Amino acid sequence: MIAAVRAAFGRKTIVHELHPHEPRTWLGRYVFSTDHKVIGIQFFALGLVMLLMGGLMALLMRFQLAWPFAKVPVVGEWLFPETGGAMTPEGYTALLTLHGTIMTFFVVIPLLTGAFGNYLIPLMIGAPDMAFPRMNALAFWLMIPGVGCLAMSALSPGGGAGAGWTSYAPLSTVGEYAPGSLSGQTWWLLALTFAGFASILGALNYVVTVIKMRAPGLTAMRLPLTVWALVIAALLQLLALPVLTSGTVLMFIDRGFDAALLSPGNAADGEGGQPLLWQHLFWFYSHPAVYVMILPAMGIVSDVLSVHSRKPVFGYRPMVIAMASIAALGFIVWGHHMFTSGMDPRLEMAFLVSTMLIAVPSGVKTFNWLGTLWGARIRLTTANLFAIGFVAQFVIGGLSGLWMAATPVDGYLHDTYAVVAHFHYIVFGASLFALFAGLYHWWPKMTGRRMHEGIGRVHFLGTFLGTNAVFLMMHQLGFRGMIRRTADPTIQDGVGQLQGLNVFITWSAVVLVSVQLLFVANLVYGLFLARRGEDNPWDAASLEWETSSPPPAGNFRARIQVSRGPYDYRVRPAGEIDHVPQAAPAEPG
Amino acid sequence: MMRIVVALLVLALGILVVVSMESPERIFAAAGSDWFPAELGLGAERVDGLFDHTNLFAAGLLGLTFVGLAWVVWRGAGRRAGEGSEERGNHRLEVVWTVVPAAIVVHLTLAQIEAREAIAADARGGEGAGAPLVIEVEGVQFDWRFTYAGADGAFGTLDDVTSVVDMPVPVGRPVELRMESVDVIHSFFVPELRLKRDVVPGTVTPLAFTIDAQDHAAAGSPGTLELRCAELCGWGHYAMVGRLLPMEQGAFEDWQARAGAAGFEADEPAHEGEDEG
Repeated sequence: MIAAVRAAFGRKTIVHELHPHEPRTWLGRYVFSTDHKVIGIQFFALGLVMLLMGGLMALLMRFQLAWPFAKVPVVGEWLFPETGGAMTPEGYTALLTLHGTIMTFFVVIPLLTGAFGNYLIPLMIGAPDMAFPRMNALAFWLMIPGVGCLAMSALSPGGGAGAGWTSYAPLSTVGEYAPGSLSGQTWWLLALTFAGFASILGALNYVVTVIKMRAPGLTAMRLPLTVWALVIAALLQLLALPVLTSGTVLMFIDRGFDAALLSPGNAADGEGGQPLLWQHLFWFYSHPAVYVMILPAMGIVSDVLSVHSRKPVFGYRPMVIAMASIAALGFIVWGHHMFTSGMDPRLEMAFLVSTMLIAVPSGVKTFNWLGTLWGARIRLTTANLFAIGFVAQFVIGGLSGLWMAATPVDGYLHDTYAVVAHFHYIVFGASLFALFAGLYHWWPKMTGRRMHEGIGRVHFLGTFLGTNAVFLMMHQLGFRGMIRRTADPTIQDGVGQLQGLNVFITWSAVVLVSVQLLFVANLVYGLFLARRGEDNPWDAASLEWETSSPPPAGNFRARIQVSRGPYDYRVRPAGEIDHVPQAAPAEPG
Repeated sequence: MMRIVVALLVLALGILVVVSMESPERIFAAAGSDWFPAELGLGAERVDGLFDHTNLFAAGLLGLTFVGLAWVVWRGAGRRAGEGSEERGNHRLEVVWTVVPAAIVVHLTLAQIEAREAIAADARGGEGAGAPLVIEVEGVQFDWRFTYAGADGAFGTLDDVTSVVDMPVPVGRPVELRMESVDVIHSFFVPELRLKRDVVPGTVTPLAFTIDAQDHAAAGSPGTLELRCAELCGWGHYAMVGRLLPMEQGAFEDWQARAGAAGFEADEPAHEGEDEG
């Protein structure tokens, strides 16, 4: 870790040349740094550690679903001493709440926006740093108390928040309905609020930085798609997060003062609140949040596919328009999470239509990725393999969304494992695959070293097979009606007979998590063992490769003048350079 | 080598997905059962029909993209320096792959809206159906309670019939539920009816269904359908189970008469009657 942080700074002499006020203490430079590269790497470290935590929790849940209430191996007696090591139903609800909260708010969002956003945006637009470096550091450091609050929630007496990552009122607002989570739920709310503020500060920074600090010549239509995606995602967060925050404030008041703002309370006078209010506020943010989790992934994959397939991104402008359309539509589809909630049926129709519309720009993106690969000279590097895996799994997760948009079908499949399969294909099969693609691709940028390609390919194959083994057959369990968030599928009529599938999924999950040890090995290899030296190992054309790898403080030694788009890959005979860097002088005429 | 592996993996996954969406029944005509449970509600077959209809297009699009992906990867990974294309886009193609999916989306949306209305009408028993049987449903951690109006057809009278866990309903007669929760949000879910509706505190949510006499007979006249809570409602969510008991109209009337008469004597529901009376 320290090596990576140190590597991010590059040679010391240059630090002093370019940043005369750079702090000279070790703490100031590597820990409480305001350098966007250090903050980006800190986000990577935090996100990957939380990913490990969330993944291990998923394994615990899968164990319970395969062998309900059996003694949990290894950690059982430590986690559930009162039952001699068997999972309790309270423990299971707390686990599913933590798993969902961690993966959404402390893994995928901070990794895609916090880590990639911080590390890449200034480099990709030719800027020395973010517009507000100090606020940027604050955004990261707000995540730490957020993690702390989540830990406090998990350790609260009674076993932690247990109302799911969606925490519907009144289960989440009235203590007596979930006795195990009296203080746990409040800590959960605090954790969410810290993570939310971090996101708002980060988003503000990204938007201002991209608007104000682009290198000369870098017009909007010359930005890499990753930057476009990150800015659009930042706008989503800026506009939607305050709504969630107002919801968490209402929930605080409900929990602290029995205000019954989000539940009817015990008042017979009809002055109590309406539980659906929380759902509206929550999904008004959390549906756009789904796009915060996929748009940057789309941008990363577009960049990786183009570089490693030696071909310009196909249909750049339609790609930008498609992302903007997905984001805009993202604000008017939240009600499709509430088709069975009992809201006015007339509203359902509007949300049905708006949700179906999202299929169009999603299709445009998919076809343009295929267009990018068509006629390309594809190098099957690990980064490219993960990007190709992303495209395949995004198609599966996107098409299963058609069922959820169709209100009659959703009326059946809502809150079943078909939904669990659907969104895991997106957040795992797509978002995390883009994370791996991006990490393998930009690792040499961050450290000056390449990860091991052989280990990487096996890591990809294992992850691709594992992902589909785990999530594909969850569709079938959902078709049979297996309810979500159940601690024991064997007692459900019609589902119990399919228990073999649940056991298969659990073993596949064990394999999927084990394969990630290869990734850990590759991280170690890439940090300490790999040879250093190449500044631009992939022969990429975009601006971030215009400086040394890792870049010095201040990023660029020379003034950057941009003359073209980021994807100028050409067909050239062997031995000739097949790309034109974005900062190359404009061609005459 | 790697390019063959990747292309085959993509193809295999595509085939697996398309095949797995189909029911095993239709693939292996004799063996196995449908992934979906038997459908017993009037209009439920329209849900399955809409699902299949959606999958027709989904499978088509998925097949197209997966074959395309496997092909371009296999081809592209075989190219060497000096080969390939520099194409940055194609206006005509963009129009095609915007307009064609948009047309499919419009078609599916119209099909969904049509099905949605037809299902709602069917669930209420279709045209010429008699007055529905009204049942008040109460969700409470972690039980289901049902109240029937009794012989006088009015709620809140002495002959109201209450039942815990078990919900007898006459086959072929429209049923209208008026659901409300005592504590947290629950969700009323009977897979065989293809229906799900949340049970919310402070709000009455309606839900109509009719058990199709023909479908019920064809499925071997099951006497019990499992009623599941589908919304996380606390630690006991997984075990919040009720039983929907389809029975002939005559048997239902017998049950109602017996339960009404017994109401003041035994059973848990009786306590409530005594307290109030």
